Amino acid sequence: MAIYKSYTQIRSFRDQKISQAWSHSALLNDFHDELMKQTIALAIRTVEDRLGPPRSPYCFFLMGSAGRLEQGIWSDQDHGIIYDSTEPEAQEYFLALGKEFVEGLAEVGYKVCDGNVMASNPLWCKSTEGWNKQVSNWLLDSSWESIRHFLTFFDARCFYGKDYLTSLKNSFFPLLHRSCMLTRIIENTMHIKKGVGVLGQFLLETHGPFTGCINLKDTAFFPYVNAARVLAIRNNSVKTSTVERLQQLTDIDNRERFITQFIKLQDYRLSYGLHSDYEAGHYVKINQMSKQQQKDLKIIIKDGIQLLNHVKEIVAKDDSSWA
Amino acid sequence: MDTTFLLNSVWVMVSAVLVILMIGGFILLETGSTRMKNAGHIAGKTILTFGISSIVFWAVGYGLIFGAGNVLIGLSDFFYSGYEVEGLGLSGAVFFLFQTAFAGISITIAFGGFAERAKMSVYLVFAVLFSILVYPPIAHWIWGGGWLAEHGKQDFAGSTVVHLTGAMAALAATILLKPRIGKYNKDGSANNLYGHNQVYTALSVLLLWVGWFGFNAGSTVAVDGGFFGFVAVNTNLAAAAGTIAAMIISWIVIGKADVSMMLNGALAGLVAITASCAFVDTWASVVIGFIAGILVFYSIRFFEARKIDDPIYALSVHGAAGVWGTLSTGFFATPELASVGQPGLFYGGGFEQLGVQALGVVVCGAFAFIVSFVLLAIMKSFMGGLRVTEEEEIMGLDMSEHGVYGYPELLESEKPAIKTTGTFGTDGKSIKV
Repeated sequence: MAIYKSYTQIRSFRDQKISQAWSHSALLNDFHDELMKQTIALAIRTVEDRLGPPRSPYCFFLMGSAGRLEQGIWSDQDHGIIYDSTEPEAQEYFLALGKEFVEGLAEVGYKVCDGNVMASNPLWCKSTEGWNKQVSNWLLDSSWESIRHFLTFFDARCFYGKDYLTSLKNSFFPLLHRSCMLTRIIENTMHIKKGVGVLGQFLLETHGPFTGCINLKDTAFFPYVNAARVLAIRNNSVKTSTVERLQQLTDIDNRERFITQFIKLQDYRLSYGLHSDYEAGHYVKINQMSKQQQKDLKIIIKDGIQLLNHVKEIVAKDDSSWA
Repeated sequence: MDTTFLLNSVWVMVSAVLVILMIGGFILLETGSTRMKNAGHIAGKTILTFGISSIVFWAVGYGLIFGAGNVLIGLSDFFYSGYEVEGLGLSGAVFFLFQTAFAGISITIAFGGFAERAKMSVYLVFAVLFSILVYPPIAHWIWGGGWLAEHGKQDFAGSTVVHLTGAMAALAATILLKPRIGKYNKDGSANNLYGHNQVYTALSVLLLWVGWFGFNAGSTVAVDGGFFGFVAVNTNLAAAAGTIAAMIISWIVIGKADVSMMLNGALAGLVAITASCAFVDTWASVVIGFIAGILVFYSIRFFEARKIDDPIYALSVHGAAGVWGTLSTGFFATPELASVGQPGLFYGGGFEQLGVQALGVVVCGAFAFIVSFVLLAIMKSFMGGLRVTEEEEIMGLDMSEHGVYGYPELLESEKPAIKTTGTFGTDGKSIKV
């Protein structure tokens, strides 16, 4: 493995090699992992040169599409740190490390997160104890915002360091199985932008630079991702990828079909996404797809909604059985 | 004095007031549909141009429409002094005021196409020219005993005379002015330049809807048999159907219950029923309004795709719906109600009335467009262009044309950004000024 001396070098590596990883979603995500590993390694060396070795073992985790191993060509940053120390200086150190991660990843081509879900933010960079307290508070509070935070956190995947995540996540399942909790969670994720109209036509963007395109993230990915996440919570699973989450489930009909549809969806995004930057990567120009592919995509979108509604029913049934 | 004469006069006076209040509706419609940096300018110029239109109508407009002349134009009764008109059945002055209001509405509609980019001086000059050379000839042809009146053209309250005429002038202006900065991208796709106040827009529609009872029901210019009530019912039904239709079609086609489209649907229903409100049955009013609501949806998309930037949707609401409304009597006019012309196609009248209506639309539309286009083209060469400079447009017409913002507290603080940098806002994106 090459040792890079600057983020710019890693960026050129990305620009040279990304076309080779373009063909398949799994290959692309391996490539992203490789790039991020190099970036993180360089950031750690930089911070260790400046501030010395870390004060304690820690876990650097990825969330969002990187956490779920579902990144497109361009991806933004969503990450955090768990460190095993209660010293106040520790937070200072790991926030500095987080800041270096953000800068490095940004130089390599990962857009800075608009919502500041990053290890440089004290909300996402905490000790094991701090995380315990914070996640419990999110779940006890159950406000719209705290549930959003929790759902973001639940997609976390340990990327570097010691895996404090699995035990942390496992410890929260009892809180999640309180009455009506899952209903509350799924209600927070039911708002999906419509991709197919009542007449079976695509609902395309009518204005702006993406006129004639469909936003796959909002219309197609969200239902699958959100449904699979809720099912994973229900089944006490800490897996993060949507496909793996769906694979573990035995109680939904057409499981294989939903998995195939989601994989196809990722391939369509890869083949037909605009890819000029992070935002454009969510859009697909419909008239570049063949008639058959368009038909296929419509069914994928409809199936996603069906899956989400199905999960909602399952969760509602659970609730009524408790009552 | 004759009671009928007095009642007619009172009813038409009330109607004239309602129609003049529609100018207030247009102020809210136009400002609500545009950005706040132009709000004061748009509100102010609408009052000013109604002032100009009123003076010109008094001096020459009324005479050109209702004066004695030939089939093409009237040539007497200039500088109307308040005298009674023989055989009118109501106060001459009330009738004059009612007609002044109509002329004012037509020019106000035309100016919708000028919004957010025309120079103030252009409004002043065109208000005068339109009020002499565009509106009066068409009004004379249909309402003043001109050649279309002789053919039995049905346009009860002015789908053609007021709305189509105004919309055609707006079309000429939008073509000559070209789209607003930022409306279209390099690849030809359109951006949404959202209006700054949807509440204004909704209130404007209510104000116009109520004002329309003066516009249509008042056009009976008499209280005989309480017929104005029937006209008002038809008007209300068409507006209601237009609203619902536009909401349904936008929900079906674009997947969203589009508020702005729904409001345009209400107005399109009103514009369409304007020609036919006295000639058709109530059920037909519902059909006419409903079709207008659907038509306006597709018309807006049609013009936008052709890079015609029509900020207030005047071309669709007043133009497309005006055409449909005028043609609608050719289908739906009933034998009992067709006090002018023949019954429509669906009532055994054949294609005759429809032909007359189509002829009226084509000739009046073409006349209004060509004359407006020529006048504006001449103005463009003599006045150093019709449009404010790029800098002034970005700054906003409140500041460039009047030196003060319509919302000073809100926008003053952002002024330095305009003066010191080429781009606006710290993120390099444009800020709403």
